[in-house]
Amino acid sequence: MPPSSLSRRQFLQLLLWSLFAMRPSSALANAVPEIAAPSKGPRAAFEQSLRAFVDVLIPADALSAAASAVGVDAQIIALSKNDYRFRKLLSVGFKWLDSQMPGGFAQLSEDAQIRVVDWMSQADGNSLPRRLFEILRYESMSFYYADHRSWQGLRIQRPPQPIGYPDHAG
Amino acid sequence: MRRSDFDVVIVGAGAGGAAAAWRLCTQGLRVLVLEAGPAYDPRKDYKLDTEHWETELFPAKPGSAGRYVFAPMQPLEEKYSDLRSWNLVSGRSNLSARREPSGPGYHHVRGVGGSTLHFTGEAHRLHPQAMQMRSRFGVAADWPMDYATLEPYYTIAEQLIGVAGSNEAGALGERWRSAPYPLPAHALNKGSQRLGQAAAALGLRWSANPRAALSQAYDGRPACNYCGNCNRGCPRTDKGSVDVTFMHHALATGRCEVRSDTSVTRILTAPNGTVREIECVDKLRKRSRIPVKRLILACGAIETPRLLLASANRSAPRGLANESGQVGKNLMESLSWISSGLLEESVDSFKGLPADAICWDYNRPDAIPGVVGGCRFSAAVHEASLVGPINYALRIVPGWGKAHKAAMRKTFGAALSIGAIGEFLPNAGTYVDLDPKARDAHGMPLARIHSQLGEQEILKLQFMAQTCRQILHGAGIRQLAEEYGTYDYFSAAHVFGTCRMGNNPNEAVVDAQGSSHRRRNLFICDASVFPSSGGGEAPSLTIEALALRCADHILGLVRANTPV
Repeated sequence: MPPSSLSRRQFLQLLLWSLFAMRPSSALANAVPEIAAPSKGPRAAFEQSLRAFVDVLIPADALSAAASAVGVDAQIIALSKNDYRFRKLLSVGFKWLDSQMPGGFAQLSEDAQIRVVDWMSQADGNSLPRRLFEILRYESMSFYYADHRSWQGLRIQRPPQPIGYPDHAG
Repeated sequence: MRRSDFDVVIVGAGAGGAAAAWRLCTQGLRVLVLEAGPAYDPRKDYKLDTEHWETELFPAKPGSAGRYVFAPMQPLEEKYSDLRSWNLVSGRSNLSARREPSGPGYHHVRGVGGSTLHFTGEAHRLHPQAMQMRSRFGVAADWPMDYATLEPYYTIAEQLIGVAGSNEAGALGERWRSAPYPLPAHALNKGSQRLGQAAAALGLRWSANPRAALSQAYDGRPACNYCGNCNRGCPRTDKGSVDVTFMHHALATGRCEVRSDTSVTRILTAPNGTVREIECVDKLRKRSRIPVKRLILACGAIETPRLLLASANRSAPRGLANESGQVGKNLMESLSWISSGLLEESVDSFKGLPADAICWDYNRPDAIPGVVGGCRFSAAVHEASLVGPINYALRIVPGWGKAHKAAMRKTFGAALSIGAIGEFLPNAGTYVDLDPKARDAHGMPLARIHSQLGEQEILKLQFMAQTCRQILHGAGIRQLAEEYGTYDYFSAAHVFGTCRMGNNPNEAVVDAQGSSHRRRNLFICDASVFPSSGGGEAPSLTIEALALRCADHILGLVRANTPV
């Protein structure tokens, strides 16, 4: 029986084919308050924004840590080093995102960050904001739930082997 | 062992090649098996005991994936929009206007063990009536043998593998048996029990699926511990893939040699038309020729016709053993559908044996109203890969943030999936040929797959999808979470028919024994010889039974001193 989930490669192809035809929307302005920006280099700004973004997607709660606490942002950066298209999407995407608000995404309050991500998640399917949201959600969930620290509270707390599930029928 | 000492050379170490090797070696012949892919070590190569176990399906190794090319496929029609693949997170999966390959499209493993390394391990016998499709319905071709002829070989294969199944009459249907299953059936997991109750309410019979997974320790292998991940490779070796069953015992005879990472690129013939030697490239890219007395091809329904077509020569300009013109024709693919939904509460559906339960009620070729060819339904949550949190998050639990975390905890283990696989009838638009441009690293043309779904296939898919949805609804699913099918995707683990067998040399590539009609020391032991696909039965056990029968035929020739 074939797998029914998309591979990472397929997913990227799906997202990137019209990347350079996309335009950001001015509707975002309504979701974001203006905040003064501390001065920082572009690399540091990107890393801060990425870290903040994945933590909005997967925040800490009483049972398990936030995405960045298990290294999701670092793994996304590592992945991008071997994939030109992904690296390009991150570069263009975060340049756009941080340009939408003084100080960049990372400087927003938590509530404002949530509003921005919510807006991006509902943007037009072919737009840059939506595609950036989709690929970051895909990668963040993939890396986060591949880490045993994320499994707290789930009905799976260990890899399937070597014990298996001898209680499967009961 | 010197090269010229081999009685038989086998190309391909999957279900057919391994079964033939075992039969020949245990009867005293010396066998060389050449396998294009790598060897796998179940205890080292499979990652189910690591926290990254879910990130890929079967682990790739260098050379484990073959390369293929697809010809453009048919446009998708709006009137069949209920057959499009989708899920709650991403929406519609195939956004193009045409049917497309899903991932590699042809889901195949090259390696010692072949696709049994990643198979679920269903151990099915073909429905007796599915072997008479032309004489009864005027489609496909008849098998040049009946069920009774294959039955003893099914029994041998089941005994060697340690198949677990139910001997109750209701579970057997029309597949009569000369001996009981060697092992008792597995207990159904909680999700399958729930599906069974729903199926029963619809008047459908739900029974334990015959499985090549050990319900008790057997033949030096431990019993299954129900981790649910057969498709990612079984590190315990309780799954009956042929590397740990047929091939393991073939090697134990001391008369079998396996050379992995060795691609056969051409078959060469003698002036009298028999196969004389093969040309191959080993893992160091060294080319060599190996003389053969008898050659068995067991590369599967894509690679076997590719090798025959690529071996065309002056006396066989259309390809070797292609006097009938049927090499590459009659391709039959997997017609499949899976519907998934979420229950209100977890039933730990990720636990247990994949496809542990099955419904054969529509398997007979005339069982589905209005179409020719049958289908079967089975529990499918594991084969849908809804067995870990990553797949839940990416496919069926939408959203993000704290609410998403909470939803993940509430729903994990609540997915139920039911799958259907149906008969694919051969048609003129579905076949394999050689791509005129694309070549592999050895300069050999790639196989090009042409696929066309006929009206009968689409009608069958609609029946399969509707029945899956009905069963899920009866099980308490109020909202579907994902559907995936082969209307908008080419996604085939089982392919058949491209070197069909038959009694008429003008219509078939090999005879009932698997022997080429015109090249008498050339044999084929894989699913390319199937004249029809069956109504959703998994093919590995039938491939093995055919290979054992072919091996017995070769043994007879050797014992009778039939000249090569």
